[in-house]
Amino acid sequence: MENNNTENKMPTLEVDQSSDIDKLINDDIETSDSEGIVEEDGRSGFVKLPHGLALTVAETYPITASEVSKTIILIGPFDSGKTTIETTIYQLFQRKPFAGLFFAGSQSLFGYEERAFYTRLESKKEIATTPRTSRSASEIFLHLKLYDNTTKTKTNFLFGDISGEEIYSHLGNVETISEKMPYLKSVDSYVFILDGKQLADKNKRNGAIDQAYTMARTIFDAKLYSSSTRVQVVISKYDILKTNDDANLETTIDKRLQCIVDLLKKYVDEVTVHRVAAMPEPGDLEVGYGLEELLSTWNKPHTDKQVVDSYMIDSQLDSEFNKLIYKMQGGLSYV
Amino acid sequence: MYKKCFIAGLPSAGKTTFLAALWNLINHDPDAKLKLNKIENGQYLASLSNKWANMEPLERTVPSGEQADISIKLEMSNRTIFDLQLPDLSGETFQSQYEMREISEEVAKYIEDADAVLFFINVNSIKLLGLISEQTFSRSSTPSTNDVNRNPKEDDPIQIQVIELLQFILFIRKNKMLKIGFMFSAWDLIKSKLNDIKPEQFLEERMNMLWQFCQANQDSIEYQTWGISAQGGSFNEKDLLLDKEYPYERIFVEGNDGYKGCDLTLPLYLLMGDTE
Repeated sequence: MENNNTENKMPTLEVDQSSDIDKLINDDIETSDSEGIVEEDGRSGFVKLPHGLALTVAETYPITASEVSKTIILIGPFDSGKTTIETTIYQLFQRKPFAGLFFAGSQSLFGYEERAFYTRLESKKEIATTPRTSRSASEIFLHLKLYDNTTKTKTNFLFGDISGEEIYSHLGNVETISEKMPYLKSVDSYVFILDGKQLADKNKRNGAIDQAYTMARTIFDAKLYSSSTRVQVVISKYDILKTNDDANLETTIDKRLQCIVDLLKKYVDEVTVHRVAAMPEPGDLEVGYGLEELLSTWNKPHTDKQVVDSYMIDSQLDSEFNKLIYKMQGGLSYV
Repeated sequence: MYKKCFIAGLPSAGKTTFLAALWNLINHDPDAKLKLNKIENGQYLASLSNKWANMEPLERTVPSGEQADISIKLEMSNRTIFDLQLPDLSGETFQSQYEMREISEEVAKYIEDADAVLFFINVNSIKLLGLISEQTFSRSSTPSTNDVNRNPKEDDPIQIQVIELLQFILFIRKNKMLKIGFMFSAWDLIKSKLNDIKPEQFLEERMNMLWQFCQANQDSIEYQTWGISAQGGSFNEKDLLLDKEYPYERIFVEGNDGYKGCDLTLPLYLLMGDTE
């Protein structure tokens, strides 16, 4: 039978290699050379340039080991808007500084453009959308370097673009998630995304909230966090929720979300709830609604308590490898 | 004394027209900041300049026709003489770096050794970001079934391609301080619509992400902005422009300090900095 549903049929970002995070983690780590992403097998007479796509875990090491950086992991089911949130922040920087920050560079410009294309008029699409992130993709981090003109400091933001299927395959399984995603321990912010479209649908609402609750519990019971980790609970596609006829809907959802917030506060100090509409349908909300507040939350300096807890360390940090491991375990940047 | 200036820009950015007009100016304008000291190997530039003087369209520089070995002996008002190397590379060479993620060792060497970079951007090529979610058009009842695949060279915003090329330049130079002049070509088109706008303001308003990038990286980028019209106007105005007594008089250069004139050597003179 002919498939007529071609309007929003999206390409998938595919990679050749299957995800093997353990192997990547155990690879030799070169922290002294920040230009390490140049490959050796370029054409004769040519210098290979950085690939510009999303980075692997290993490719983030030179950044996290040598510069101030924050790792943000967005977690949500397929089509909940994770990639749209990441790419919309990037796109809004194309117009003006955002959340008081200036764009200072990116090692994944090409990857951002790949994801942003189908939200633009040039794509000739009628509905903005982003390519589905393949479960097998090992290139998961989009990189933005941002500059605070007030403090004159630059911060690297690494946004974990993990496919919904990949992370949800570990739902309720502490052992496998610890084994397959140990790098999550160094995360600065977890962003649990609840799809506003699902929340607006009473047939899907309870399942969506329960799934987020169990996912959060799986990650935190697996101890994949540090004392400085922050959590944001984000309602995506808020434009859909806002236009719902049920006047009590938001109050109902707020009550249910409070259960997730209460759970998370047993593990970490800072849990906030956000409503965003990255690429809303034409209407009351502007593109990027709620994202400025979200980026400001990610960029906020840690409180004294958070810093002191993570600064406690007994061993000497005399090797680059130990410094890196320390940082990956949630410690402060040593450089 | 040798000075090396690297000329960069995407296709149709005005790099070759600049070289043609520059040759005419340094030969004939007594008021230019830099003048030609001695013709050595000026055959290529002289040929370009002849066509330019008659307002004949210049052929686009293709990768096979690149002139990497252009050197001009220039003289400053205090009689200091220096050789300026200005390779004329094809815009396609730069665009292919963006897409193919490789650069020839020869071009990388030019970048590494350059004292300054002139980066040409055609104001006509700049498109503002258009998002589907911000459109209020009514949707057709039968959605288009034609999938449009992204062509990075055509579809990615010019400012993104420019930023990526600048990141490559910084990468090749290992973040050594970069002096760069952004040359907004076809500037007459902007002035005909927005008479009061200055090049720096244009950068901030039309290529804001690039502007942010430069502001945020002042520890590795020292930049200037210039508006230039090396041709002097469109080919539709050919008769009017050919009426000028000297061809170089039709060149238009605008800086941010109020300078408006025809001296194309001024950006070079100011970028090279320590020539005196």
